[in-house]
Amino acid sequence: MIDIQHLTYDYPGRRALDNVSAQIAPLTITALVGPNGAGKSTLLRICAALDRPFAGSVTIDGLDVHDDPRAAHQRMGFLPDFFGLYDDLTVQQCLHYRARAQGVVSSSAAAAAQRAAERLDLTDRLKDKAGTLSRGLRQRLAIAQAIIHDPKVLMLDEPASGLDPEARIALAAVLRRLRDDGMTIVVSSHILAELEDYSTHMMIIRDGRLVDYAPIGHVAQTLGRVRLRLDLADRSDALGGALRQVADLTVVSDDAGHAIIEMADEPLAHAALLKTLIGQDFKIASFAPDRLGLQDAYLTHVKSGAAQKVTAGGSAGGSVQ
Amino acid sequence: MMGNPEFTRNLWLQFSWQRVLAAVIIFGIIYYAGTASGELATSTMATAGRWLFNIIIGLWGTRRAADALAEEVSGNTWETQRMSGLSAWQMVWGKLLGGTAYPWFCGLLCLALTDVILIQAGERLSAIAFFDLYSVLSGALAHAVTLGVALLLLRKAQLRRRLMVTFAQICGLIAFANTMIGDITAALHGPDIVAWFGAVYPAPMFYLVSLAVFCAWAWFGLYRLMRAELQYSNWPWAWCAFLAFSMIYAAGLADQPGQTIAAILGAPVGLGVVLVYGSFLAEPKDGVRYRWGLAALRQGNLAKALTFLPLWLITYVVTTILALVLIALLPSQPTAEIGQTWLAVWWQQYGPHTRIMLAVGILFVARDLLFLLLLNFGQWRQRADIAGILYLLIAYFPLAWIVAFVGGPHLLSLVLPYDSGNVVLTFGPALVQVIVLAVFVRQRWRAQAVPDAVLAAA
Repeated sequence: MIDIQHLTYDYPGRRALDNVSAQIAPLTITALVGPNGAGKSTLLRICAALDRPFAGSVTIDGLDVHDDPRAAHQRMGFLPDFFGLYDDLTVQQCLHYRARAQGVVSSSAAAAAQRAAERLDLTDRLKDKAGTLSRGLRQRLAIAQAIIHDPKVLMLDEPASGLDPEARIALAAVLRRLRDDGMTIVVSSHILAELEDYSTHMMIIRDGRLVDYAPIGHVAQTLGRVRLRLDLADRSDALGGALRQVADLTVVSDDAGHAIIEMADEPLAHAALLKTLIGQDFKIASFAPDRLGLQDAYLTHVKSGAAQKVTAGGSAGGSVQ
Repeated sequence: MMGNPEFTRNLWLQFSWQRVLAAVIIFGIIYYAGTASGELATSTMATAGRWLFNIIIGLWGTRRAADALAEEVSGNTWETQRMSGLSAWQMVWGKLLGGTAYPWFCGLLCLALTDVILIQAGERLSAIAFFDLYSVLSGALAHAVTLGVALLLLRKAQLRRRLMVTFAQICGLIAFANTMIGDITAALHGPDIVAWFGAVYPAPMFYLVSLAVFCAWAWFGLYRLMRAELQYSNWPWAWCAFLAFSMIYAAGLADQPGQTIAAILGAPVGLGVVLVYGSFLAEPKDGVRYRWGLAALRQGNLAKALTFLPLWLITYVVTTILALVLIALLPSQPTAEIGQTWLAVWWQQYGPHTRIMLAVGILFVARDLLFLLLLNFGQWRQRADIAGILYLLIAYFPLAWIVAFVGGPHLLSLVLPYDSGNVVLTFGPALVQVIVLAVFVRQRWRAQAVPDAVLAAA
């Protein structure tokens, strides 16, 4: 859906993006992560045809976004990190204007506005002025504006910053629903916790280079290890100690009732571990792979030094179907 | 018109029944107050009405034109607008007419009431129509200049400050004052005819057509600026066309009976120098983009390289070529050969130094550009142009006086174009400054580039 090829972009004295390539599959939600100044916003802005790259190209649904930015904008929606609204217009006027500005014909604009309001649960606010909305509602209105023309791709830069927990949960639900409706979504943030709820993939950018792009969970798997969760039917304080006795096993967290461990991704090793624990009279209730948290995955990746290895060999390109 | 969503949005923001009614009532009261007593002369009321129009369209309209963009930037809605499917042309006229819609409503209402007073007094309809058309075109030009300057400031990332918004407004106001006070006075009270390339035209019609043409250029320039802002590739053909047009226009005005070709050519050279500085200050001096342009050139991609070509460089090259032609055409002697022109006045003052002054002048323009470029490639690039202008003004005025006072006039060639009578002393300082500054500029420019060694090691 989004084909990024060899993007390079410079600021004075600094390379902001260095030969970044990736293919983002349709119907995915990609978490674009990296430290501040890594190049996330620059990448998004170039993908949104708001800036031109020095070299490389971005194709969305087969259209080079820099050949015809206006046509590309009719296929994508973008919400910048510092977005604004026309505070003196009503929600309905904001949506109607945006629909017309995105090329929706006049006769369909009202219907498009109504549909976007319904998708973002704003129907009861249509007559309210944008300036009177709360931060969470403003965010929803901004997203409604970004998707009013039913784009195939939606890109959001730090969408949850400043939102309270309730609004963040609502935002996650909205994004999942949009993905289910057929959109491919890219969300940039340096707050990993907020991305965890809805992302299917993670793209790590550091120092302007693409370090990794993979389904979440894949990062640890590429290191040959898997994260497992073990629950006891009968609590035992000895669980942690027993696990730590096992070779080539890392205890991520544990208490008397459960433990999260990391070990080799080999069924025989898993069977051996179970046999050992049952032999020690632990009452195992469940033993299954644990979905690797986004934050953990990111930190694991960074700590593993894989980032340096990849960058030392040149920029990584990612293609995940 | 309502098919343009940007125009419609502006109307939503500016027009309400209350505001429309308020304008009608206020102007109705003013009209009644002026006419009811019958004591005020028609000319007084007409002048007052036109001045009121000038204030509305000049002061208020230009402010609205600047704010049409500045409010988007400060309200963080500009990026969203850039992400829309609106074309550059829709954006331009949607903002220009939509953003100033209410001042136009009030201004045209005021103009209409003024016309009623004049018609009642028996004024010729053609004269009224001429003045109205002239006024409306002046307003359209002023608003286009304002929005254009605002767009230029936005490209230089300087539109967030209210001072800069006011600066854009002042530029529009200058354009408005020039046409509404300068040109119209000349058209109505100056010579009846204007000679252009030897042909004679009625002055009012010439000024009106000139205003319409420059207004069209301003709107077209706005469209090109908006295209650039929307990330479309812009080849510099539009600027080249404007450069050619404005130089030919100036040459036409200089082509008075009895002129030589050298005198005619002097006008475009003078205009060229003004446009060199103007385009240099208007454009962002982005070292990264210059490098991209060179890289495209090295790859043989001329089409891409042209999109990065600075307009000031084109202007400087064209002006230098014209100046060299002028130097070749200038007679080696005297006033009689040039006729009674501004060049003759210049000649009387500087005599045979004219050729030298032109040559060394072109070198000093290069020096100024390199100096400003050096500041722009430094750490304080946001303030580089203003600081640079200040330094150059100091060099051209107080410093020149000090040098002349302390060391004598023959040392003036150190700081400004001056024929000291010695070729080395006349050209040497300018050449040395150009070379030294070029070396520094190159160093700073290279320092901005991402060092290959750093990239390789990463």
